[in-house]
Amino acid sequence: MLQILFNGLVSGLLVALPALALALSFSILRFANFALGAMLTLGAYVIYFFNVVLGWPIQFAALVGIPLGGLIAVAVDWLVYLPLRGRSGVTLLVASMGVALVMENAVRFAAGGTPLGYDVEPARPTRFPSLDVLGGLRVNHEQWLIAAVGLSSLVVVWALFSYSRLGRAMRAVADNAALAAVRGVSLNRTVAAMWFVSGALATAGGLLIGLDATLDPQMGWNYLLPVFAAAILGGIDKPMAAVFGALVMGVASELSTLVIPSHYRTVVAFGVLAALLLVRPWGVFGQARVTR
Amino acid sequence: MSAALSLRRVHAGYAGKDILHGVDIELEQGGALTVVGPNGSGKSTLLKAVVGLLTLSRGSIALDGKPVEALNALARSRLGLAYVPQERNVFANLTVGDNLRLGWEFLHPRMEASAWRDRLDYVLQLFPEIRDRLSVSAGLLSGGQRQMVAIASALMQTPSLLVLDEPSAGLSPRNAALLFESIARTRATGITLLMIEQNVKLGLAVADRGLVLVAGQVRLLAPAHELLTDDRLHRLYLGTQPGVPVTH
Repeated sequence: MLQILFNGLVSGLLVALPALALALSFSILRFANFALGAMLTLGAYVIYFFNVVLGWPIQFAALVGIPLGGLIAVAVDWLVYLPLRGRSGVTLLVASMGVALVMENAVRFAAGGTPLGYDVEPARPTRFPSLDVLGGLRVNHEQWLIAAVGLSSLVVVWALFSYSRLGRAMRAVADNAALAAVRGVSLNRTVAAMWFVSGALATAGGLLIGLDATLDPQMGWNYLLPVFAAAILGGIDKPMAAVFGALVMGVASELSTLVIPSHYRTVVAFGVLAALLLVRPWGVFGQARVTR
Repeated sequence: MSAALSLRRVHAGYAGKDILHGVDIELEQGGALTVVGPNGSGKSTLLKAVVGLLTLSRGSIALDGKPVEALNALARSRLGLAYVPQERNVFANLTVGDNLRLGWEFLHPRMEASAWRDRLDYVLQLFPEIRDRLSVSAGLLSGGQRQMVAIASALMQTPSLLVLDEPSAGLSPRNAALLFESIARTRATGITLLMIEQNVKLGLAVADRGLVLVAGQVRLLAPAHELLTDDRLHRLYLGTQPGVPVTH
């Protein structure tokens, strides 16, 4: 039981970072960024380049690759979304689909379609004998890495969002962009910073997914649906709530394997989402919006 | 000395249709002008044009003699203009303290922390009712307190021109009176004030001059104390006969 709960939390962390990235861009620009899956893929491959092609240790590859993923997202904003600012959310959504296609095919062109893996030293799993009374707990090396990178990224973003000048600017623009402008907040700078954080989070998410399994050009698409589901579950305009949604989805999926075959676990997570949407379509922490 | 705000033959509106038709306004440094007029006369449109949320179709606007009609709201705020909209005028998801900090920090990025604390103390003296609400989410405040936070946030910008859009809208008479006591204290600091207000009596009480806007045109401009008893105000604004008290 303990093992299942832990696996669920780790699975949730895999989805939490991209879900947070999605909710961040939605809260400020009010559009669903379908390119998030491709940003995740591209980020994972950028780190692969440093780690495998250049032979850097995974830690250094991540330290360089994650900010680089943020810069790529800023460049995409500058090239694609900035000229479309002020258009409807549907226009931006369609543009993001185009961005996704370009990114994914760039990865396929540069790295091929064969699944790849990071160069990480194999290590023995850690066992906790004292927890055997609760069914035992075994944590492998990748799970430690996922937990460490995932949790530290979430803490950094939470602190940035809650206590920094930039975080206040992001929350202000998300709340009321026109009022933020008359209070002296630069919309362009704030949006660029948001894209940097969003791109860095997607890249970190790509790294974690690549550590958990393998890298392939479709990896982002495979995670897009759970990422959207997690963000909607928490409340898509509440960035930190997306983390809650991701963790709930992860634990619910793993717990379901106690009663149904494991290959049906994704269905259970979506069942939870469907049930919630029936009673609270704006998510657990989101706010109902009235459109007149 | 150039005027704090100068509008020359301003035309502006929405979707190619002008709401303002050649508005001229001259507001001297330290002056206070209250704009009144019936619903649909273009008062809010006038303020949006002044603060840079609406592009002029013709005419010019100058702040302290500097032409600003080509500048957006952000650039005008950097020139010393602070605006309080009628609705959605606070960041509801931020605390009162964060609302006030936000009014300060983006226009004074390099000033010391002591300057920020001094300014906060100064503004809270003008709005003592919100002093113990700094950690409360602004969305949870009463209407009157929310207006006070909105004006206080604007004052944190250390503006030279404060622009208020119907501050008493939606407030009970008691809360409106309390709010205008704070506006009167703010006015006494010597700040230049441009305000539109439906409550004519309250609005003109804190102004030097009153302006009646009807159908997007200036129809009357007079000292505030004279305007309250001017028969033409009754005809233009209220559509009533002289002798009816102006209390809204």
